[in-house]
Amino acid sequence: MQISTVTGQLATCLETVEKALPVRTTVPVISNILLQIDSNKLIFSATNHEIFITVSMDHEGSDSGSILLPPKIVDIVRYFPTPSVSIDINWENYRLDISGGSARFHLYGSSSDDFPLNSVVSASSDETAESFSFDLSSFKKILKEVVFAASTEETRPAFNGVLFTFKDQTLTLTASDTYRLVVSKIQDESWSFKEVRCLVPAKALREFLRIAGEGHKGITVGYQNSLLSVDFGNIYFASRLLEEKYPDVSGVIPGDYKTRVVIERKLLEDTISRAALLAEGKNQAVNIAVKDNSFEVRVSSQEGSMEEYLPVEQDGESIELFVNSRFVLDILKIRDEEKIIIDFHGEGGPLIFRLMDDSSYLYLVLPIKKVN
Amino acid sequence: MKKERDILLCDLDAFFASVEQHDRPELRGKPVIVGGSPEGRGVVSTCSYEARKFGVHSAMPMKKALSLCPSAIVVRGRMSRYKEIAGQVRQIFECFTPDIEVVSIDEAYLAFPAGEGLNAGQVIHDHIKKELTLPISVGVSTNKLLAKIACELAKPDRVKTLWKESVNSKLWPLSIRVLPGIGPVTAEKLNRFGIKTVKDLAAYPLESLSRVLGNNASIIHGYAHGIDERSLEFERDVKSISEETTFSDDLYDINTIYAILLELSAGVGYRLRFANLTSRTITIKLRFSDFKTITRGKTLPEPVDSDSEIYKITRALFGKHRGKPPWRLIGVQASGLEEGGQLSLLSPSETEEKEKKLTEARDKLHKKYGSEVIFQARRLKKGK
Repeated sequence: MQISTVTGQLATCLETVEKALPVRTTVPVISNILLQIDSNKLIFSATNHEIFITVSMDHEGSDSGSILLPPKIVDIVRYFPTPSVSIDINWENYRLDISGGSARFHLYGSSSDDFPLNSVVSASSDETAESFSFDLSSFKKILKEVVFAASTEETRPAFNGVLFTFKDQTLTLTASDTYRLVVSKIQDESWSFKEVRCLVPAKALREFLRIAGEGHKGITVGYQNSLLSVDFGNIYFASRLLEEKYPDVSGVIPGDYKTRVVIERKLLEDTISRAALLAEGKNQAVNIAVKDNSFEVRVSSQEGSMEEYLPVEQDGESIELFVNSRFVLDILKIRDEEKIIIDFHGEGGPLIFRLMDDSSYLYLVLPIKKVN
Repeated sequence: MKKERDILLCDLDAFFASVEQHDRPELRGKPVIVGGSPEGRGVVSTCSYEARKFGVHSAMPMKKALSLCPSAIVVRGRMSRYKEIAGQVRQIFECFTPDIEVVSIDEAYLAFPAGEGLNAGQVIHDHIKKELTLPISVGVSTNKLLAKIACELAKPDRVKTLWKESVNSKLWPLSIRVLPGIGPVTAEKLNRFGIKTVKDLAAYPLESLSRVLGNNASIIHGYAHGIDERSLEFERDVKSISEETTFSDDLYDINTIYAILLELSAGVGYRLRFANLTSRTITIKLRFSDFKTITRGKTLPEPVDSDSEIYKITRALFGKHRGKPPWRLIGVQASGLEEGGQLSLLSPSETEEKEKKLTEARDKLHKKYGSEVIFQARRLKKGK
C-alpha cells in the first residue's frame, strides 16, 4: 500500500512520538515506532515503559494494517528534501520504500505482533478510572508551577514524582525535593472527584510539557490502571505512576508566620541573581535579614562579599537566616506577579512564598542551618 | 597600613594538671604534680596551683618537689589525652575567630576586630570554663607583647586587658624579665647598668642600649614602650579533618582493623560535628608493611557527619582496597567540607533519629569527660 502525505506534517508526528522512544532498552521491540493504519488515520505510537505517546494524523486510503517502523525513519523524514513524501509498505516482508523527488530510501520494518501496546492502553474496567476536562494552557501553567521542585536525584524515588490529589472539586499538585515544597490547587465547579492520589514521575511531566504545544484547547486528563493520561485531540500521552508512597507533608506547613513581608517580585529576583554571583558551594547560601521594613541580602564568600537592601512592607519581628539562592530564584522566575508575600517562621523555620489574595499556591523553602 | 586589631593570648593554666583534675574529680582542690617518677631523675612537668603554693614549679626535680609538698599527688603524664583536650580547646577558639596562632599545646594568640577583644576574651573564658571546666587566663590588648603581659597579670583563670594607654602604669613597674628576649643572663647584664624595671629600660638611651643588647636593642626598647610589630602566624582554612593511627605491631587481623576504623571514624565524626561541618568525601589511608601507602576515597551524593555513615564508607573502602596484610597504618579523612547544612523536610527516620540522639549524648560525654568514656563494644579487644 502507499501513503502520500505532507513531509512537515509527518515529521511533526514522528518527532512527537520519538519522545517516548527508550534511550537504551533490553526489549528491542520497543525501540521501534508502531504505525497503525486504518481507513482514515495514521496512528504512531511509542513507549519506553514509563511514558507512552500516540499521535494520529488524517489520511485518505482504503487499506488497514500495522507495522513497526525503525527509529531511523524519524530523521529520514525530518531531513527529506521534498515538501511531500510517499511511503510504500510491502506487507509481505515489511519493507518500506520512502520516496520524493529523486530521493529514495529503503528501510526494513518488522511485524508489530509483539509490540506491548495492550499493556498500556487497554482501558479495562478500573473502578477508580475517572477523567475530567481541562484547558491545555491552564494545565500546562499549573504543571510548570510545581514540576521544577521535584527531585532529580534518585536517592528517594517518591520525590521524583509530582503528587496529584483529586478530591471533590479540587485537584492539588504537590512536589518536593525534601528541601522545598510546592503546593498548587486548582478548582472547578464542574468537577466532582472521588478521592484519589496518583504519583506521576516529574520526568514524564517535563516530557509532556515539551510536546504539549501552545494555545487554548480542551484536553482530557484521566487516571486508570496505574496510568495518568492526557488526551488532546491528535495526541494521547500516558505516564505510568510511581508506586512509592508519598510522605504526608501537610505537617511541615506551619500556620502562623512570625514575620511577613510583601516585596516586589522582580526587584527581589534581580537582587538575588546578583547575590548568587558570589554564592558558592552546594548550598549556594545567601544571608537574608528583615528588619525595620528593609529586606537585606548579603553574601560573604571566599571570592568576596556583597550586600543590597530592598524596601518591604514588614509585619512581625526581625529575622535573619541563610537560604539557598537557587531555591529562591526558582520561584521568583516562575511567577509573574508584581508583588509576592514571604512568610518567615523563625531562624530554623521555613520561608513560605505566597501570592497576594490567592491561597491556591504556596512554595516552602527550608533554610540552611546556621553556622555558629 | 596595618589593620588595627585586638590580640588575645589565651593560656590554659597548669594545663596538664588541670586536665588530670578535670578527668579525675577526686584530684580537684588538691596539689597535683604531673611528671616523671620520684624514684628516678624525674622532673615536674606541670603542677596545679595548689602545689605551687608550696613552692613547687615546673622543671623542679621530683624529689625536691615532694620534699616541699609531701601531700602532692604525682600523676604520670598522658600526652595523647592532653593533645586531645588541646584540640577541643582549639575548636572552641575556631568558633570565635579563624585567626589563630598556636604557640604551644596550652597557648594561642587570637585576633579580633578592634574593639571586640575584651568581650571575645570574656566569652571564650566562660565558654571553656563551661564546656571543658578548665581554667584559662586571657590577656587582651592590641599586640602580642601586651597581650602576653596582660595574660601574666590575669593568672590564674581570669581575663585582663593591658592597653597602650596603661603601659606607664602597668608595664613599667614590672621587672624587665617579663619582656620576651630577656632571659636571666641578659637581665643580669642589664641589672649591672642599673636597669631593673621596664621603666628603667624605656628611659635608657637606645644607642647605649645597643652596646649591651646588640641588634635586638631597638626591638626590646620598643617592647619597653609597649610597641610590638610582630604579626600573628595563622594556619589558614581547614580543608580536611583526618585521624590516623600507626600500629605498634603490624596487624593481620581484619576485625581489629574494623575496630580501629570505627574509632577513627568516630573521631573524625566528632570533629566534623563540633565544627558544624559536613563532608562529601571520605578517604582512607592504608600503609602496608613494606611502607607502600595508598589513599582511596569516595565522594557522596549527600554530605555526612555521623560516625556510622563514615564508618560504613571507610569499612567498604577498606574491604575493596585492603590488599595483602599485614597493615602498618590506617587513617580516615573527611574532605569536601561544607558549613552548616540545608535543612530537610523529612523528619529523620526512626533509626536515624535514634542514632542522632545517641550521637548527641555521646558528644556531650565526649566533651565533658574525653573520648575514652564511651565507645562502641566493637573496639573492645579480647584480653584487653
